[in-house]
Amino acid sequence: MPEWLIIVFTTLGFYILLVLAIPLFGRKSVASMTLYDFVTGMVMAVIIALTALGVVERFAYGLLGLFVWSVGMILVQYLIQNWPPLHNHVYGQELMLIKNGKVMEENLNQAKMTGSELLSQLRRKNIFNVADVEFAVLEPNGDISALLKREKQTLTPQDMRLTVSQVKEPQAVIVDGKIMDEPLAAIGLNRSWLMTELEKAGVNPENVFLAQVDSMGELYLDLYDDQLQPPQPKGKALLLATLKRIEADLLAFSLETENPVWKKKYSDYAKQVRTITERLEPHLST
Amino acid sequence: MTVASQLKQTIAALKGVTSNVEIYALHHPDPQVKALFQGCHQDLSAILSDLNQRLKQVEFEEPQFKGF
Repeated sequence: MPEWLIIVFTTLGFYILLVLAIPLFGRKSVASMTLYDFVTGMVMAVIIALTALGVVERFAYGLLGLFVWSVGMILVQYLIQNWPPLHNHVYGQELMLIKNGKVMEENLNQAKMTGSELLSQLRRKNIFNVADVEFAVLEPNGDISALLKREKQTLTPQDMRLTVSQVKEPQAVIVDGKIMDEPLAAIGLNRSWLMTELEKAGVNPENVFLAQVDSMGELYLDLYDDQLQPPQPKGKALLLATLKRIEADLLAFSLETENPVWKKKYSDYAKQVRTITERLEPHLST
Repeated sequence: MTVASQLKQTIAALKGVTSNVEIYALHHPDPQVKALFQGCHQDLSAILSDLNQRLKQVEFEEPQFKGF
């Protein structure tokens, strides 16, 4: 067999092997890789490349090296996950850079960071005042995580003592024009419901590029034909408005009627509708 | 507009709201919110049926406006 054919076969073989082995490497993104991940990955890649191209004199030796390296990696990975001291040795520990609003200079030195670097990292997180930071750590991969002081944190509904509706994740039921049965089933709906909703919106199913259902069962549509304006879901707002109108009607009836029993009943009902409106409001206004 | 026809409009609106609330009660994935919607649906249907009684009464009292 000519040498070039061997190279073709080995390269192809390694390539297929690599594609098959990709899930074994975990889901870390390249940006969050630590130095250790990077170096071990590089060495693997170099061994594979040298073996495939025949730079290593005997093919078996290349495979042997690869095998030993992989076993070592798997072993170390196992130890890293189960033995914290090794984890800290390989990945480094998180370093506290700011504590109680004060910069820890010695830790900054240990991390080989300067003050202006710290400032620039904080700015990247939209923090321009060091005074706003309660606590900041340097993560093993070099990122900085910062906890703001309570009064500088983002306002949440809880801070405002507001009741808000719990939402479940919206489900995409049509993607790229294809109906997705699994997400539909996940929210307890089916194709015939979808078809009815599309008909109600006056939209041809073939024209839908994307359809998403929120937890209240309302359908958001995006069409291929951008000239067409699909009706946006407004059922909840409409429901709220109608409830308010009914309350007003009932109040008017209670003023108009001369029947004393119904005068009382109407105003009671108006009050009841009002409390219902108040209870439903957090779930109906998005 | 007569009293009966005004009442009819309100009843129609209430009917729509009640059934919408029921639909939300059936669809909502969060059991707590579901229960809230179900409770509201029951209250609204009680009001609805009582208003229907009232409509009959009004139409009986003033039969000349029946059907408007």
